[in-house]
Order: sequence, then C-alpha cells, then structure tokens
Amino acid sequence: MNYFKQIYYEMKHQKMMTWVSISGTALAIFLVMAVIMAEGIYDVAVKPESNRDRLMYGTGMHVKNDRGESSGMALSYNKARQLYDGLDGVEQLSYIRTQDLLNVASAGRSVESMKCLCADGNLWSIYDYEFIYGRPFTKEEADAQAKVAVVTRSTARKLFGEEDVTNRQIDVNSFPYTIIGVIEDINPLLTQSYTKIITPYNPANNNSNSWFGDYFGNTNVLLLAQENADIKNIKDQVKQRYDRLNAEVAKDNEEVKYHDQPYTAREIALGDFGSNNGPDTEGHDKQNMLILAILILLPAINLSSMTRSRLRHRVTEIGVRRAFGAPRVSIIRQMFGENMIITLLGGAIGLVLSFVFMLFFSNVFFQFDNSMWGSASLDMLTARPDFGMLFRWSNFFGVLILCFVLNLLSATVPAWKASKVQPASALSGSR
Amino acid sequence: MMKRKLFKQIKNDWRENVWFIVELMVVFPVIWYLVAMLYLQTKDTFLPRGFDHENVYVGDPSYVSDKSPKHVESEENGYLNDLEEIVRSLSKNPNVESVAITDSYPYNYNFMGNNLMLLDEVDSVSYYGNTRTATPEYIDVLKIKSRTGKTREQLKAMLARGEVLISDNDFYNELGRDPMNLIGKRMYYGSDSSDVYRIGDVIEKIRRNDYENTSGGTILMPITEENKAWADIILRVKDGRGAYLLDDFTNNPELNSHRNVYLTSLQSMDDIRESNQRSIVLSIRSRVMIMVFLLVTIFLGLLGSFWYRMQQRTGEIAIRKICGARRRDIFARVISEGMILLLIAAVPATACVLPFASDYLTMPVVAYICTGLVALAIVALGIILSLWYPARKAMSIEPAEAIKTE
Repeated sequence: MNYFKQIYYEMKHQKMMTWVSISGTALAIFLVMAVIMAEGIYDVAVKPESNRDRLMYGTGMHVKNDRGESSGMALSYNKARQLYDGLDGVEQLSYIRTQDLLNVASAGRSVESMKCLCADGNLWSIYDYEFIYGRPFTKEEADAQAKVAVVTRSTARKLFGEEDVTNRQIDVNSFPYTIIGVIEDINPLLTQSYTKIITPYNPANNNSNSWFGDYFGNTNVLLLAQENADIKNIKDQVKQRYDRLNAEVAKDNEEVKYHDQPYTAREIALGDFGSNNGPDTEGHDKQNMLILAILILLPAINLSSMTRSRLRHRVTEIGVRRAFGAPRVSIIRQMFGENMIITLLGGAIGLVLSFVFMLFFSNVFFQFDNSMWGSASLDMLTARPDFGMLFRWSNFFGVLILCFVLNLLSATVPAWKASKVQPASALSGSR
Repeated sequence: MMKRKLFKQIKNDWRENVWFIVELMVVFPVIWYLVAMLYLQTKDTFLPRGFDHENVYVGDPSYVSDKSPKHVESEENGYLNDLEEIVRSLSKNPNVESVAITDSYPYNYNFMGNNLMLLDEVDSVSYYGNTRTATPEYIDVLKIKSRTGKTREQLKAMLARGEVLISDNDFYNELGRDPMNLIGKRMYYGSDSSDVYRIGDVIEKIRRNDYENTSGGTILMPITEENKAWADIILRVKDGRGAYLLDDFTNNPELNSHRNVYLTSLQSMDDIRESNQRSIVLSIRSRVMIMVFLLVTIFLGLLGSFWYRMQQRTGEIAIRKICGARRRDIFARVISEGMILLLIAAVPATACVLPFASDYLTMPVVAYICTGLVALAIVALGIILSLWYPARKAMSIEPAEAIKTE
C-alpha cells in the first residue's frame, strides 16, 4: 500500500511528467494496436466466414502465347473443374459466378444495382450465412438455375420496407424471381462473402460463356479445406494440375502460368496480386514488421530518456535509501514497478482509444478493401469493422505483453543505473 | 563564446541527447519520405484537368436479355435504337443542356493506349495517347477546351465530320515533336494503315482523375455504331437543375427506359469522382496522420526530457540572468539546443538514406532537396513547439528564488 502511495505522490508532484509519460505510452499502444487490429481484419473468422482459415479461392488464370501476348481472366467451367475439382484435403467446393452487380427491383420501386453473389448449392456449407427467415436454395434448385433469391435484411427493407419478405416477387435483371430466404447483413469488409442478394448458379449451364480456347469464362472457385489440412499441399496439387495442363497446351504454343493459387482468405483480402502475378504476403508482412518496430522503438526511446531524467531528479532520494541500507534489487524493483504502473495506465487508455478509432474513424483514414479492380460500391469503400471483428483475447494479451516490453526497454537500464549510485556521491549532489 | 558553451552543455547531457539524435535519425527520414510521397501524389493536381465535371451525370445502360419475359421483339440493331431513343428523351428534358454517348468518361479509369502515325510523311515517332470515343456532344457535356482558340461548336463539327482531336502530350514533346504540327495532317490509328483520320485540333488533355498526369495524350475519336450500343450516357444539366432532373428521371419512364434498354440510375460525376478517388484521398490522409503521430512522439519525448533539464538547470539559468542575460536570450538558448540536435541527427541520417532513395522514389534532384528542406522545417517546427513550454519555464525563473532554494 505504502508503495502505491509513494507512486501516487510522485505522480502528483510531477504532474507534467506523469501526463507526458502516460500520453506517450497511450499513443504508442494506440498506434501498435490499430495496426494489429487493421491487420486482423484480413484474417478474423466471423460469420459468415467462420472457417476463414480454411477458405481458399481459385480466381482466374493467366495464359501466354508464343506471340508474347498475355491474358488473365476468370475461368471457364471446364478449366475450373480440371484444376480444382477433387483435390485431396478439400472438404467442399463451390462454383461462383464472377458477376458483380445485378439490377434488382420490386414492384413499383425503381431498379437498383446491387452487389450479388451467384453460386451453386454448396455455398451454404462453406459460408455460414445466418438465416432470419426462410431457407437457402437447394442443390437441385441451383442446378436448375431456379428463379429464386436469398436477400439480406437491409435489402429486404429497401425493396419492401419490411424484413419478412419470403415468397415475395422481385425483378432480377428483368427476370421474375421469388425470395425464399432473408439473411443477416454482412460486413462489406468481408469482401468475398459480402453481398446483398444471392442467386443460384449452375456453371455447366453457362458453359457457352467460354472464351479464348476454353480457358476463360465467368467462373471462380471457392474451396473449404478439411480441418487441419495442409494448405501448402493443396496448392502443390493445383500446381501439378497446371503442369499437366501445360503439357496439353504446349502443342498450341500456349502456356498457363501458375501463380500460387488457390489463394488463402488472407492472400485474397490483402489483394496484392493481379491476374498475371501471384500474391506477395511476405513483402506485406516485412513492411508491417518495420512499421511496428518503429512504432514500438520511438516511444521506448522517449520513455527511456524520460525515465532517466526522472531518476536523475531523484538521485538524492535513492542515495538516502541506499545509505539506510536498501538493497539494489529493491531500488530496481521500485523503479520498475513505478514505470509499470504508468505504462499499464497508458496502455489501457491506448487500447480503448484504438477500439474507438477503429470502430468509428478507421474509414476516414484507411481503405481495407484492396480488391484488384477497385471496389464494387461505395458501401465497400466506406465500411468500418464491427466490434466482433476487432476484439480478440490475443489483442488484449498483446497489449499486456507490449506494455511489459515497453517497460523493460525503457525502465530497466535507467533503473539499473540509478541503483548503482554511490550514496555518498548522491547525497553530495555530484554525479 | 556563448555557442561554445552551448556545445559543451549538449556534450555534457550526451546520455539523453544521444537517444534524441537516434530518434530524430529515424523520424527525419520517415517524414522526408512522407513529404516526398505527398508531393508526388499531389503535384499534378494543379495541372489543368481538361474537362469540367460539375453538373455532369452518368447513366450506365442495362439491356433486357432476349430470354427474359420482359423482352420486347424488336428489329436488328434494336438495342442501339433504344439507347438513342433514351438519349433523345433526355436531351428534350428542360433541365438538360447536352447528352453524349461515350465509352470513356473521366474518373472511370478507362485507359486504352494506342498510337497515331503520320500517313503522308515519314516519321518513326508516333503520337501515343489514351483513346476516348464519343459522340460530338461530349465536347459540350465536359466543356472540352481547344488549345488553338477554336469554339466548342467548331470542335463538335470536327468530331461530326469524323476527324480526331488530340491533346498536348509530354511524351511526344520529349521526343522533340509538337502536337500542334499535326493539325490538318492525316494519321492512321494503331497498326492498321487503312484506319485513317484527319487531325482536327489540339485540345487540353482529358486526364483520368485530379491526381495523375495520365501518360501520353488524349485521342478523342468519333464513336463507332457498334461501340455505341454498349457505351455509357453522360449528360450536362443546367446550373443547379441536377435535383430536378433526378426527380424527372425517377418519375418519367421515357427518361430511364425504352423497350429493351434501361438506365438503373443517373450518378453525378461528383459522386463518381469521390468514390473513385477515395483510395488516393485516404492514402494522403493516412500519410498526414502518420506524420502528425511521429511529430507528437517527438513532442512528448523532448517535452518530457527538457522539462527535467530545466528543473536541473534552475541554478545555472538564475546565474545567467544575474549576469545580465535577457529572457529572450534564455529562450533562444533552449531552442538552439534543440536545433543543434536536429542538425546533428539530420546530416548522418541523410547520408544513410540518400544512396537508397532512388530505389523508392523517382524524382529530380531539386525535388529531393526541396522535400528534404520541407521535412527539416516540419521537424524543426515540432521541436520548437515541444521546447516552448520548458523554455518559457526557464525564462520565468526568478534568480532570487532559484538561488534561495540552492
């Protein structure tokens, strides 16, 4: 108790310094946590992407010919099947159509372009969309490309002004559709599963959409790996299939380029790949480590020199305590503890600030959607993360560890130095 | 004499100072980098944009598939006729000034690079530019400007006659050519020497957005019939009539649909501009934010340390004052201490980063120097702000009081 009292008086006595130290720590923790949280958005597992660490995506193909021409686009159904169907370690596969927008209208209201997802019946066992009303479409309905649709809560409200809209009729690209289910809204930051309306898709029916020697079409592949499956192994199998395909197309003087597909959810979200080049998550991670290092190092330097200054100020006090027989360990312990309290206090403030910033202001400064062709709509550009996407126990413990590291970096050396002071010289005022 | 003492004092406090120097050595290059990036990002915003986006709206046509029950039987080329019918209805609306069909409007990031080659003269240098095709009304909708003083009516007549308009072009200039010399000449487009156009005039380059100086020039061509059916509609409303048009658009079916073609919405070019430039704007904001945070870090560090130093130096400052130092001298002394620390840090930091600078940023030497000086000034300002309070505290020391406590 005495100990805390001492710290309290010390803090009160040096108001300015306490203020500066706490805000310095808070700033450091705030920045580091903001970076870590922003990074977490790219791989956090929340509904409907609860299995995000097992999700993989086959998005397109890069073909080169002997004239040096190079094309990259989404896959034809045949190529999608040839490359991704029946891979070891994959639990479920869904074919998705790469069309971004559908024109949707309800009777009496004007037509509106909406972000859509058109997929086969396996979609529901990969993404766990939360149904509020109705049901998903079945495999049979998907295969028959039935004119049924699942819409989100906000879409339902927009189209009809209410939420339970099952069995209502809408117009999708000038075709009459029946709504069979309503799902919970999805945060646009989950760029792959984000949608306003889901309609059935049968890639086999759409095979007329194949261009350029049956390489390209409008199909993407969504994979769910088995639990504990080896991601690398899945990629290797696809690479082997690319090799086999290359052997086939060599006679046409064409070449398919393998770019590390299928991509993991994180690779997709980071988006630093094009149709003609693979992802570079390593470069991204390196850059992040550098940023984090600077963000931790600078405040540590600050706190360290502040602690030094503070201790120089108290050298007389330490001298007196040493003269009365205080062991060096207890001096170090006290300095360390004092600093720890300031750091923890600053850390707590910084953590709260980082949550507030990410929840309410992150879209003023950052863009999380890195999709290659730009965003489909403004709601994706201006989206902010939900609390569920930010809070993780690992973040919380991260802050604790970070506080400890900051404290260690900034307090240990000055505390050790201070404890070395000879009582006589401390009391005489010389250093 | 005074200066020598200042250096001695800095040397005596070296244990604290060395950390600041390290800190400034990290912060200064980072701020320099940010200033340079911001400079590169924004330097072209002051160039003329070549168009006026105010009061412009864009409509993206959709087509009813012939398999849909809503499809209306129509003649061959039906889609094109339907689209033109919508354009006619829109043109007749009293709020509308002009309507054009184009495959490429500003802020949609369309880039179709191609070359124009002289047909009647031998010149290996081609005119390279971003091709935009449109109906003649494009000139009125975007208020395209001639560089030779031609009126918009004259420019429109040229497009209507099938002539091509080109723009100023830094690539072409760098190769020692002048686009002005191409006016009236016949040129062929791409590799097909039978695809020949007469160059009508030189216009201001139509850039893709406010931030980039789109490479090459602009090639504005008449739109072909087959491209028309799949292109976009852009229109200019009379000043302040945008809301009225949108109202008419939702309530009058003939403005938004005709048989098998319909427009889902009219988007203002202002909105398109905002959403398409959002990522650039955000990256500028986040760079400025990082800069501010770095400065705040320095601020807190220097403030904390000098605050203590001033407490330590109370006696010294008191004696200085007794010896006749003015308040201003004391203030200046504290600030100079910070500036000297900055210079001590900036010189080696510059020496460390300069050899690698060209790997990350390509710009002329003058730009390196200027951005470096701006960065130095920003950090110096940060230091002055952080020393302000400690320096004032030092200034206000009463010699009698100070020496009494000693």
